[in-house]
Amino acid sequence: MGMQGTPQDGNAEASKPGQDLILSILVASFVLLYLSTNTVPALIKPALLDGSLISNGRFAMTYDGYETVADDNAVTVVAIGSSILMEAMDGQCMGGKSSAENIRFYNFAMDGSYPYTEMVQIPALIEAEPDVVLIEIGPNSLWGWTGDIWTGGAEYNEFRFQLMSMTMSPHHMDDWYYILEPEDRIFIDVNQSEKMDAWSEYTRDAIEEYLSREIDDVSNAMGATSHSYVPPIGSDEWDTYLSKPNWRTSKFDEKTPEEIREYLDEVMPSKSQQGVYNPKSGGTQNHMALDYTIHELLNASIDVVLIGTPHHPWVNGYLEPGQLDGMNETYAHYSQFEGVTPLQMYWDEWPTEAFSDRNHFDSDGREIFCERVTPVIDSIISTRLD
Amino acid sequence: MDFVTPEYYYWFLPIVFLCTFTIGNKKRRRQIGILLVSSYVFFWFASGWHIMLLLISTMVDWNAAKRIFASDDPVIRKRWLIASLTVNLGLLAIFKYLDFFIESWNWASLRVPGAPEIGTFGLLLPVGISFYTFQTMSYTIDVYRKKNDPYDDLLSFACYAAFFPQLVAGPIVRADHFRKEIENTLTPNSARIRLGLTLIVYGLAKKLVIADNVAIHVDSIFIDGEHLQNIGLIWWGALAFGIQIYCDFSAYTDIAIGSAYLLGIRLPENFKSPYAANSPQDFWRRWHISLSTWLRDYLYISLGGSRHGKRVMLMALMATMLLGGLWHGAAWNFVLWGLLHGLLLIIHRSLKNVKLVVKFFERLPKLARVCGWATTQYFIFMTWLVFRVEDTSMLIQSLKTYVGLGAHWNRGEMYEILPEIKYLTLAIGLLFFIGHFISWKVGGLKEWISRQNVLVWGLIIGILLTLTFHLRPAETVDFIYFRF
Repeated sequence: MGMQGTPQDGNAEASKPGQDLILSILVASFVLLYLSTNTVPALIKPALLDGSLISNGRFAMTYDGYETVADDNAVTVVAIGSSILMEAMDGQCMGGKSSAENIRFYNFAMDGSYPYTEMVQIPALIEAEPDVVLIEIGPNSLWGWTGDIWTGGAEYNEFRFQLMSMTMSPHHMDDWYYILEPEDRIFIDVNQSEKMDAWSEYTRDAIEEYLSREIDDVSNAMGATSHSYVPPIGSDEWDTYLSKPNWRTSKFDEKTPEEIREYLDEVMPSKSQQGVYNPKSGGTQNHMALDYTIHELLNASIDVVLIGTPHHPWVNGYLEPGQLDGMNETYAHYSQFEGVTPLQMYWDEWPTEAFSDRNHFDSDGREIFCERVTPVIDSIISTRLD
Repeated sequence: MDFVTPEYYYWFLPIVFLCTFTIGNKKRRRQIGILLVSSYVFFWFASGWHIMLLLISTMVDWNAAKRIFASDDPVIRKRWLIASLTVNLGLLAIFKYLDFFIESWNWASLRVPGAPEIGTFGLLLPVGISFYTFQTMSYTIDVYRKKNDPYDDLLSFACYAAFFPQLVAGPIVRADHFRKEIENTLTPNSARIRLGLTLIVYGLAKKLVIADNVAIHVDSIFIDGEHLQNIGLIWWGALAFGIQIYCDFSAYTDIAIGSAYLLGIRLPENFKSPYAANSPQDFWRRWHISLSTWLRDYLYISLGGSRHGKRVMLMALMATMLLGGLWHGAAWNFVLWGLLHGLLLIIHRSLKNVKLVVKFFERLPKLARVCGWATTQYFIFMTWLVFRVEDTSMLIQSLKTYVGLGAHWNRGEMYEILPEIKYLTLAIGLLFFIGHFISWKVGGLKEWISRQNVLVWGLIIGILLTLTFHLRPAETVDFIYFRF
């Protein structure tokens, strides 16, 4: 297939237009790749984090957060889990109370998550080389799919997986992919083209947001104290935020005990039938994800603490005896592993004033959590350092 | 499969390219055969069994032209010409206009007591029928007029009739032009390949970034409601639709011409910065050039043209524009659109000889040109309202608002009606006009891009591809001219 160009003397000159063509195509491909993998994400990410583009900017912070952990020369403790752990843990309080020198506590727990969704980030977490990882294990972590009535689950999975695979690096693909259900694998971007596609879903909205701010001085960004807001990466606020996220205001603070009882009477009968209060002891995608998570962390010589945070003490009155046995059995199973420390606080005594709602702590609860959990971490750290 | 589906780029075009220049390397007939087969495969994916209509049109015109050329008897020559026109126009009449005529009859018969109502046939419009019938008719007419000889072989003619880049939505190519392009073996030419790639990327950016984004605004504006009295919305709607239809159609043409260039074939250009036109006549030298020249050569001149006095010329002009409007679609708003353009052309022809106008152009040429441009574009974009808005009451309201009758200005209402992505689309619209102006100034932006050195070309194409990838809306809009 001889290529013609403009008339030239000699073979070397005749092939130059062909070489130029190939070079041109290579330059164009490089520009496309560079802009799509660097410039476009850099343009969009601030709007993702400040809550302009998605319901909660926190969902987009994971991988940048792990890069900060990786850059931290301190002893690092990272917590992953749902909003229950997010509202429970004040990393700054724990850092202040800890007897360990130069230690940082990072709170990466986020709304709605469970082991099946969090396993995707494990390679990046390991890469950040934390010393200890706290994993929340509660009734809401161990539910199975079949027969469950949480219809929003599929949408949540799609959203989390799309966002995580958009923001993670290609080398973070790991065996977790095979634990995913086939219908969830389609949300994972396995190649650069799919990642570009995923980012492109937000590009127009991000540019519109920036133009709207410039032209109309109108912004969809959440306020700096909003639960859905994440400060700009690398700012001073960012460093604080990673330990001390923006917590919700308490619902129960303004309620009398009678009103709280009324509220629980209203919601608990149906909630108690849902998967979040019917944890299984094994065989679910969450358990498979937990297996993967714990084994990978242990293989990377990272200590694991299984944290069971409590629900409001009155909640248990709405449950059947043995209804949470699945959670107890799960704890019993993983407690046998060397390197795993079970810290099941669900059955401990907790004051009702510690709760902002049915299953989240308020500031009092965070204080108690800080006091109870920090010494456990300290003893693990001192063992590691020995 | 069409020009914005991944399949076209992932496998169809690369396979055709490779086959043409490997299997068909230095073998002209084999190359033509490959292009012909590829074209029929493309058409099959686009329109399925309607491929038979393409075959009918091809065979009828192949035979008709042969018979015309072989005979000196004017009666026989005319008979075969009429046969060709009857079959091609008959296909159009049945598949494109039959239901339109029936619906129009039924509307009229409601007003005539006792007049029968006829049921429509619900025929699907075959993809590209308006284009390939006109293309093959032009071949037969040129042979009849002794302007060209017929093709030597059926293979080449069939390839001309079905050539996939321009089959579905033009440009309408003249037989002689195509014959010259394929008379020698096709060889990959890096300059043409580069130009081809430029046109394809440029076309994709115009379609996916500009046309499809403004389309969302157009669709949100032209729905029934009181907002149709908002002059800001109607002006933006007219502008936006003008941008949409230009970018949509010219994008298709760019990709068609670009694809042909990759295969070593040059197709004629179809657009030349139409929104830089400073008169209606100038507009039709810049817009859908292949159709306007076809209408001029085969309809306007046949109806008498400008050779039989002013009255004949005006009637020929009006008839041409009316039928040109009807060509676009089986609906009265397209006829009205054609009528308006006919009126604009007639008014322009009349005005340009008026002493005052002549003096104005002589004394203040620059100002006169700007005034001519502004006036022309004002009316061009007004006619786009007629093209877009099919509902009569909505059209009347939109036109009234456009000229300021009973109109109001309300920014808040604009904000409410326009979809979520507002400023980005307005910015795209603004950038379109800036780009259009630059293109007019440099004599064609895509040709300018293709002449740049390795680095600059790569940078521009890379940026265009990035914009296309990231700014396209989630839903792609079908090419508008597929409906024709």
